[in-house]
Amino acid sequence: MSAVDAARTQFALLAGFHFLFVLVTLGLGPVVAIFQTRWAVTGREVHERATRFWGQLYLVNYALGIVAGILLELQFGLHFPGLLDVAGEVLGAPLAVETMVAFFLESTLLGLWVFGWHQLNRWVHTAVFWLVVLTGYASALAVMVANGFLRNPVGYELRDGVAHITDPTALVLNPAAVFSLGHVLGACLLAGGFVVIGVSAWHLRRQTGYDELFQRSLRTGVVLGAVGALLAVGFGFSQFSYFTEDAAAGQSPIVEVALGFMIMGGFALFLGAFPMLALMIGGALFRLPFRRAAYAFLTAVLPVPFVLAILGWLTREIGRQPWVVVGVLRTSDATSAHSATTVLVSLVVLVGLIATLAVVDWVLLARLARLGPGSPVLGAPALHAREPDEPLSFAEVSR
Amino acid sequence: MIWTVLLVGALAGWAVLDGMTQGLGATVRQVGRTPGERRTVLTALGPFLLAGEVWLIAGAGILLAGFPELEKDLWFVAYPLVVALLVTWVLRDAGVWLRSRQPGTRWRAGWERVIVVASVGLPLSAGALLGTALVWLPPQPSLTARVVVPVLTALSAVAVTRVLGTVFVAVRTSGILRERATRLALRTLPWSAGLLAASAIAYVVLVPAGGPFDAVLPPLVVLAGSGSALVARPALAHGRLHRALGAVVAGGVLPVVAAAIALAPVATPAPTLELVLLACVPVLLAAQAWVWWTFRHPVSPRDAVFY
Repeated sequence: MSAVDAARTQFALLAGFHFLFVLVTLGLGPVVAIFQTRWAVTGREVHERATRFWGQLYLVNYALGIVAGILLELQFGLHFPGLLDVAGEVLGAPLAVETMVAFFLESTLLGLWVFGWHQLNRWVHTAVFWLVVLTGYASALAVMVANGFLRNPVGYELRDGVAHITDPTALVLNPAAVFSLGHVLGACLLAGGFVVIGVSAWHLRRQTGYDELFQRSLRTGVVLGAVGALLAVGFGFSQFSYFTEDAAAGQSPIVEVALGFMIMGGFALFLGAFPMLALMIGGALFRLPFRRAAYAFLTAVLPVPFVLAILGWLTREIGRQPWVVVGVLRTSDATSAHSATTVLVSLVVLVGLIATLAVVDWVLLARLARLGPGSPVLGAPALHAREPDEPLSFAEVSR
Repeated sequence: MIWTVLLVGALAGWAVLDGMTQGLGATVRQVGRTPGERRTVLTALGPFLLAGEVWLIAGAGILLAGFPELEKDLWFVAYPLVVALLVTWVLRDAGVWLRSRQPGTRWRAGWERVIVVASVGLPLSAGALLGTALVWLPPQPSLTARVVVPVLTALSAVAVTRVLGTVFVAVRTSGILRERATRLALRTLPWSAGLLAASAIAYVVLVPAGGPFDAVLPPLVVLAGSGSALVARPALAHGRLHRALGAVVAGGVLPVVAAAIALAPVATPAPTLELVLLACVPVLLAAQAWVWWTFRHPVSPRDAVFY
């Protein structure tokens, strides 16, 4: 394996892991926000429980999203310094906005949300989470502006081999950024919807005692998933608008297969959304004679949007090769002078680390999802948030 | 100029705010002796884990957008250090997030050890990276300088974060935890002052003077370390914890600022970006101030427990 291949593989694997967690962060965020808003409005316990249950899954997923993102942020400088030489100014702008503004606010406010549970006014607390969701989406926009430039470079001018921004509006409104953002957000909502539907169906099938909560959740998941399917399919096809003929002609077979599967899967989800929405009318799904089989099916298909999203991402990234910035810079000219061994060692270390943690995190998420909304740690009073052998040294003291 | 202020602000912010998290993590098993005490310490950390580490994520973004040349050169000479920084950072976070997600003594103790080791490794690699920037960009002729300065800055970073973390725990807890944290802080203060002084002296002795700043900056670092120790020591002894915290924060910020001035990085940013970022700075600082103000009190039964 050459250093170029090792660097590309490392980036692809790290970005792939990051992407899987981001899908859930962006997809589950609205679910938590919607339930918290309902809780703020109605004050009903079922909404509070739903907020805490889905919020806890959101957070345990977020943990890995953030650490995988940390590894990704320094990859350009480590392995693709040529990209910074040529397009550092153009790429740096959206990425600086992402890290310094959107992500900075998102994470700062998320800490406030988790630990401000009993300290903030409930409307302020709800608003804080909506801001977390919005800044998360702003992050996605900034990243897609950077990624869109790689695919379809616009709004710049090459002077002495260095790209300078000449038209920031064109850069932001790049169809490869805007349409792709719509497509990716659709995928996120689908992923979030499928997680909610799958987990809810699991509990309904086993009758774990939270029927109302999970029926409401399933309904929210279906609506969200339907919106997601519409966005993903609609914006998916609109992306062909900036595909040039020769780019399409030179596609590798992997890309064609991945794209084909993704389009078929996307259509299946899109068509499946209509009967699912119909089954929500009057809660018909929950009274079907064969509902247990339906629940089992809905749980089994939980991974589908994740597989499709990875296929879509492979299509986009491999489809761009051999260019890192289409028509401007080849990937092989952007890679650093490190030896293949050096890059391979860091590949094994970093990817091994994130893969291990990802598996641990998924096992934990599955466990928390199965445990159900009985007593989520998130938002619990200090006395209830501890294990029996973990007496918190402040919990018994009253102020 | 604006870019340099942004970069130095983000790095100095990270050094002290995340430095508190690092020091807390490094001492979590010393300050807390039982599972419950350790979880109390992690609850004291609570909202500040994310609020602290975002400063380095912002710093890395500013580096990428404003100083791609510096990032490229430093990442090239310090590749293993960057990988070490990433690994320890990821492990520290994973430890804090995952430690309390499942019951069981072994699970918890295992992640606590990860937190301790990673929280020492993180300032070690960050400090070494800063020292490397000082003596490898461009490489100093003397091999001694190229090795000794990063080693000393790395050790200084470990000591300074340990002081920051223990004083922070003393502010955020009460009773026996506060006593233990204060004791640890008092014991570490001479080390942080001494190591900072040693780093500055090594820099003066081993690196030939290159500019007007070289006469001012190393003494500033010595002064920051010793001065903050001289203020913090009696303040800790008399239970004036916020005063002690202020002193050690100043003692942590100044060396980073001094190193950044010595590096004098040249920014090559996108022209329109500055206005966007500057317009956002007040909002970002307000959000941070909101978090730090809301959770300024010692943890109590009102506090949500998560980590």
